[in-house]
Amino acid sequence: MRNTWIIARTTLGDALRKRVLLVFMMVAVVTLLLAMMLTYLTAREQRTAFLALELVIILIFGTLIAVTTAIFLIPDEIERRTIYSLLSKPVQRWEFFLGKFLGGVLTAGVCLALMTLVLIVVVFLMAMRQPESALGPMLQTSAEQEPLNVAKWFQRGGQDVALVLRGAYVIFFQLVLVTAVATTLSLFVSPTVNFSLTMFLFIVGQVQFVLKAALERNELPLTKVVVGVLYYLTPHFHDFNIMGSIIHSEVRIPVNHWLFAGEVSLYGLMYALFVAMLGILVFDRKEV
Amino acid sequence: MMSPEGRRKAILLAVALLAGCWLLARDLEPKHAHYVQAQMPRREPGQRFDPLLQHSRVGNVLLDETPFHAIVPAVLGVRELVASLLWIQADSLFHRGEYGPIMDLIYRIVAIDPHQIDVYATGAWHLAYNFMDKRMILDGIRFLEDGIRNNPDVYDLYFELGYTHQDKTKDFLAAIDALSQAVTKGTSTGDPQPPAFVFMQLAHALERAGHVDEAAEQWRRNVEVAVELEKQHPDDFKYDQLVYAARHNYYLTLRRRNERRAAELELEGNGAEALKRWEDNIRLAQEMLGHYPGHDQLEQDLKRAQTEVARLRAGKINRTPPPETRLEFTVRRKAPREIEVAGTINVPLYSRVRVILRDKDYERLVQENLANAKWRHAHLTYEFENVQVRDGKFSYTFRLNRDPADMGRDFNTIYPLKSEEYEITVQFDPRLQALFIQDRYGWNGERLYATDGLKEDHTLFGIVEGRRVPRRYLEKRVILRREEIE
Repeated sequence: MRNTWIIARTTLGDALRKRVLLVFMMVAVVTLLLAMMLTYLTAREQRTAFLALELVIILIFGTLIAVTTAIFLIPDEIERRTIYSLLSKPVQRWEFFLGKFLGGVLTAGVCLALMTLVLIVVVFLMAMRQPESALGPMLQTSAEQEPLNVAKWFQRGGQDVALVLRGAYVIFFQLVLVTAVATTLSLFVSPTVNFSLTMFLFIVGQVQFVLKAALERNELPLTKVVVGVLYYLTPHFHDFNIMGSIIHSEVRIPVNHWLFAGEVSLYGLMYALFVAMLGILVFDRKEV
Repeated sequence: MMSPEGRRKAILLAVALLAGCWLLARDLEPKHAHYVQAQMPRREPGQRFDPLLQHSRVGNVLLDETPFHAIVPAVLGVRELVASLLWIQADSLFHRGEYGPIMDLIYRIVAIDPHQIDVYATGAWHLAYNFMDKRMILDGIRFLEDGIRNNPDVYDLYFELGYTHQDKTKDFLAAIDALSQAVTKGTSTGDPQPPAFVFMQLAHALERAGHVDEAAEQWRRNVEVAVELEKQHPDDFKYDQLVYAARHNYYLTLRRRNERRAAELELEGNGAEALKRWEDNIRLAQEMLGHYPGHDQLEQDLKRAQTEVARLRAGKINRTPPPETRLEFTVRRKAPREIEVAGTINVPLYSRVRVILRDKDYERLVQENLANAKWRHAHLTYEFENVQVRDGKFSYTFRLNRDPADMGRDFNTIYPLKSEEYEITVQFDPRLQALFIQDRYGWNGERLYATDGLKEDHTLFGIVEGRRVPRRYLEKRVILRREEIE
């Protein structure tokens, strides 16, 4: 595993030096700051709009970073022929593949952590504004004019930070899964095709439960079988979508949120390992 | 290269992982259905569903329960984002003065994301207040009720509903129902208790409904709430003011109950009981002065109570009944669709009469078409105003030939005048009067005397000192035919 870890660290270093990541990061950070311009809304509207916008931005940019990193991980090594010098050393092929995959995961993780950090800072600062009733100003009870209650601010801010962390935690395991899919597909197809295929799988995974429901209503048995197989074989990215419970944390849902986050992350991890295992098996026999 | 044994193990591990994924996916699906369910609108009572019982697949739930125009954001899992972006657009429209499309947008937003509490509150405010189409007050109420169905665990929309009933429909019992719920709910930020003004509003609603004993009890509880908040925030002057407001209102309610009851008792010739009430007012004022020494108004209250006690102890009982209240008015068509209602009523300055113009069977038609807003808007006419009385006179002109909010709407869409007959009603209701005017007539019109037009409503009774008191008010109406208006 030492070899795997060295390859993963090197992969992370290489990936972070790529300008494309910096561009994504810059766009993400600028968008986070732009969202702060929503201050003309009430505190609760601002929080809702901001969290909704930022969680989607983090998911989309995190996915783009994960995919654009993973699709080049192995093809770049082959193209630059560095893979030969690596594999001539006492490094197993599975160690190389796993190292590359872990490097991709670390890259996505670091970018996600940076974006989450910005989000946490902004969310915590936003919690300074006190929510108020829409009729507040009319009743002359405007919370906006009240002095800042630091204890309440920290309480609200702490709650929001915990929510953001739960959201980021679940998003991370989506990125792990996406990275596994893109890394394994990179053994079969060119980066451009890989990008399209991975994104296709990601989008289908987000909506597959609806597609399945719609197609189930189709009476053709063949359709049912095909859809059923697709449903159980492709990753259920939709199960990772818990944004509603983060944005509207006041809504009671009869589920233990952290337990669900743990379970869905375990699903993501297991699926990612399954896909990576397929990649290892293919790469083990692949002509390079 | 892996050994054949290693490869076999890797394949076995891959199969085991896939099987584990399937099992986990099956376990996750119903749990995630709760997240999906929580994002969906609940439009009518009884429409709540349990995805685990009624549907085997979350996709079916979503397809069946999501309105067509919300399906794309729902399917893509970005309900909250799309709703927030639409809300920013709605806000821009409002600030540009383009009110027309706002409600369409607002209905769409809450169909996409039914947990946008501020969208419900603002939408209802537009309907009940801004559009100045009195028929839409009911739409605002129904919109808030829809919001409560979707957000039953936070105080906000219960409070908005209670306030709108109290301020607009004057249905004080409905206001009490909503506010009684509001005080038991927490905030969207996790506070277990709503802000103090919610408790205050409930007490005001109870008093308006003539439930004076309960109002006093609520003010007593409000003092406790305020004192507790003051303890929690010793450096915040606001809570000191809150304690004062709660105490003062508690005192005023008790003082008024004694005063108003004493006046009734004197009229009945029961000077001994009236004396007890005024003696109690001395005690109340002294108790309050203990909290706020040197308070001008309290000193005056004390002096007055002492004077009244002295008078009654001297056996001087005032048995002169208040003068009979007489309401007269005439209706005149000033121009096509302009109806002037002018009259006289011998009530104190700044009293208000409620002047109403509506279809003859308005209430029945509304009840029959409660869920059909389109029909109500196309067929019904409803306008009213609370008109101030000056020197015993009042006058108001219904202008059914223009948009009341100057929004450029066709007046025919606001006042369609589709019925054959209309009623114009003039009411003098003590429950709707300022407190100093109520001092003369009582909370429920207990001391309202009239030989013509006096109504007694025993269903909307008040409760004062444990006694049920019917709501008493003056009302007269005339019927107009459509051609007399057009």
